[in-house]
This record gives sequence, C-alpha cells and structure tokens, in this order.
Amino acid sequence: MTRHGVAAVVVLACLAAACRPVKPGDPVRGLSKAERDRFARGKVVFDSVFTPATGLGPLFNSVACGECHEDPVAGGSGDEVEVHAAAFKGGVCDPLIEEGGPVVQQNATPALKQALGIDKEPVPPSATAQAGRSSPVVFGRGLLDAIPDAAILANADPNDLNGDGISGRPNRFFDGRLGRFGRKALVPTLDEFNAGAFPIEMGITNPAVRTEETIGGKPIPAGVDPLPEPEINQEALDLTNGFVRLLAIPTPAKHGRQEKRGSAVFSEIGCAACHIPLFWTGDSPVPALRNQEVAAYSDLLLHDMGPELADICLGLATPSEFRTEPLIDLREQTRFLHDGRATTPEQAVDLHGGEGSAARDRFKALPAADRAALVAFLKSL
Amino acid sequence: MRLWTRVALLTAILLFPAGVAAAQRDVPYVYQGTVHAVKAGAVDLITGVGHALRLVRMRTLPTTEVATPSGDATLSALKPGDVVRADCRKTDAGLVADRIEIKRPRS
Repeated sequence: MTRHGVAAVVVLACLAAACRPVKPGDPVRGLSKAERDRFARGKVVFDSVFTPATGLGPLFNSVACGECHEDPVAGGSGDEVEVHAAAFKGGVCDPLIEEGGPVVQQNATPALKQALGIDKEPVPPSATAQAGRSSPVVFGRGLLDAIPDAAILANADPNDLNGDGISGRPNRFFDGRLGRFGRKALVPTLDEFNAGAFPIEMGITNPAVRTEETIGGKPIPAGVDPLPEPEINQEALDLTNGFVRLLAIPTPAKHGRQEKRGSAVFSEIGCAACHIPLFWTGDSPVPALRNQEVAAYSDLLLHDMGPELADICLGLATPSEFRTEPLIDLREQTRFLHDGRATTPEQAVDLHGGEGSAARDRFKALPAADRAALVAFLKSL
Repeated sequence: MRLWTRVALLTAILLFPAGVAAAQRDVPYVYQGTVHAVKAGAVDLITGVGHALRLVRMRTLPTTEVATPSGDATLSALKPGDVVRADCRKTDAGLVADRIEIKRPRS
C-alpha cells in the first residue's frame, strides 16, 4: 500500500471511531492511554464487592457501587430505593446527623445484628419526613462537575424577576459552596459526592471520611467493626473518582421527524426552562472534559415541585424543592423521578407540580401527535 | 541489680498504659468544618463530605481563643454557617476547643 493509501486508511478509521455512537458505560472521547487505563482500573474498584472482612458496614445500603449503578452497565441506574430523613421545623433544616441522618441505611452486617438485634438503621426519631431515593445513572457526572459555578448561577432567578413562573435557586453546602450533586443539589463536587458515598452506601471509610457513621446516633458496639480506618486508601478512592468522572453521556438515538418535533415541543411548552438542554464545561484538569458541550437537560438548580412530591429538606432545599433532574440515558430507564415512583416519562411529567405545573398542563393540552412526539424525544435521550 | 531491673521493668509496664492514655489526651485534634450550632459552653461542627455528614461536639471554655479574618474575637462571634478550624484536645470530659479560627464567615 502506498503512503497515501495508509494515510487514507488511518483517516477513515479515525472518522469511523468519531462517528461511532457513545454507548452507556463508555468513557468520554479523547482520553489519553493513561486516562483510559485509569478508567479501566477505576471500573474494577467501582465493581468491587465489599464484605465485612474488607470493611463493609456495620450499616450499609449496598455491597458495591456497581450493585446500585448497574443497569444496563456499570454506572447505570438501579432498582434500589434508599431512605433519607431530616427535620424541617420553623423553616430550618436539620439533617439529623446526631440521630444517624440524613441517610438511613437499610442493611446491617451479621456482627451488628448479633450485637444490637437490628437489621437496619432506625429512622431518626426527630425526623419530620422520610424520602425514597432511587439510584440514577452516573453517566456524564464529570461533565456536570466541570460546568463553572457562574454558568449555573446565571440561570438562577430566586424571586422570579422575569415573571415566567420559574424561580430556580441554588442550594449550598453547609460551608456556603454552591451545590450541584444529589437530588437536592447539596454536594458541591463529584469527588466529595463519591467520597461520601463509600461510607454512606457501603460503610467504607476512606481518607476523606475517616469515621464510621453512628448507629442511629449511638456508638458502634465494640468488636463490630474491627477493620482499622480508613478501609480503602486514597488510590482506590482516586480510581473510583476517575472512573465516574470519565463516564460519557451516551449518544441519543438518531432523531427522526417525530423526535425532532418532540424536541421543539419540549422547548415550546416550557420544559426547557428548567431542563436546560445545553451547558458548556469550563476548565478541567482532564483535557477531554475541558470546554465541552454538555447535553445536561438540567439547570442544576432547585425548583419547587409542589406538595405532592415534597419529602425532606436538605441544606437550603425545602421539602418541596428538588434539583432539576438531568435527562441522561432516559431510554434505558424504567423508573422516573427522585424516588422512582413513575414508570413512564408521561407519568413523570404528569406528577410535576409547583413550578412544573404550567409546563405539565401545556403537555396535557397538546394534540396527541405532539404528546407522542415529546415522549419519543424523551425516550431518545 | 537483677531485682532493680525487674522492678524498673514492672514499673514501666504498669505505668505505660497510663502514660499512653495521658499522651492520647494531649494529642491535638484538629477539625475543619462548618458551625452547626453554638450553645452555652459548646459548639457543634459539621464535618464530612457529600452526604456522609459527621457532627463533632466540642466544649468551649472562657479561655478558648477565637480568631476571625479581622483579628481576635470572642465566642459570640461564632455563628452557624461559619467555616472554622478548631484546635482541640481530648479530656476525660470530652473534646475541648483551645482555639477556633473562623476561616470564612457565613456568606
């Protein structure tokens, strides 16, 4: 083959790779070999199953990251619904840390069962509300992490000064930093969300969280958690962060006429006011995450969703306020909304209240063809 | 001589745990977190990351130093939401704060 022939083959191979759709579980494009290697090693930690001998518990929701984020691949969604609790009194939110909140673990190790006779954490007695929380996909979370704070705050309109019925306000972590992760947007960064997930979900301490959670506010009985803290090291934590950070947003299904019409209807009836289709990332230590378009379909802000959906408060979020859920990989989902109560996209739209009421009502008033188009569009994401 | 050696060894063994305990009490504990509540003679800090929140309760004394970005202050300067660094020590009565530095007041 001539030199020109080889060059042509290389160019065609590159074009073919670039045009190939990103599948669920794929890494973002443009990674170096070293980054791809770390992504693969991080997936191993993500899929690792913990046991009491390797640090699991004493309280936990799951035995592995990949047990809840598994469908259709590692990083996907899960059918588990966990329990959160908090107290909202006089407009003040208490996450009930002293009583084991805000996450109430649903499993206990055999040693804890034997010591206390419990098989899950008791609900904090001071809780004024409980919440169910489904396991969402974590695709694209590295891209969401790389969106500049200013870009998120630019869409905030806490007093609805533009009069469109949509407010949108930021949540903030206890130290004042802008939150964006979690159904109530409490957590500022992806690394922190992941570092917190190890102890909260699996009872695995790590260099960022070196102490086990209490048992409903009471100390862990002696001998129940013999492994020294931290139970995983910084390398394992970094690898997990690297895997989650580099998970790409799957390419939407090809849009035909119906999906294109649905995309237009999505904007026309006001869904896009909160589910903002596009953001751009800012700077990032990972070149492939830098200055990238992100099809987030979220503004990462809190909105009042009405009394029917209201559950717990968290940070500045009142019981009825939720972060706009990013619409990522919807076509693989069988459960929708923060607690998985909806089984179809139509049902999820139907359950929107509060600031989502007007868009919901416009959806219901659409001609059947436009409603079908909108649903087809959602199912293409 | 052998007897004295044994006595010395036994003394050392018997005193060692107390020595360790005393040393542990003197070990400085440094916490960084957000003030959750300020009560009479105590401050609660939220530490931890993500949803893995931890509450650290520390006693304050009249001698507890408080520093702010603009200089020294009193305990009344502490407000929920302040981001602080607390230098503490463990005592038999619990954690005691010797110095609390407000790194960033509540915004």
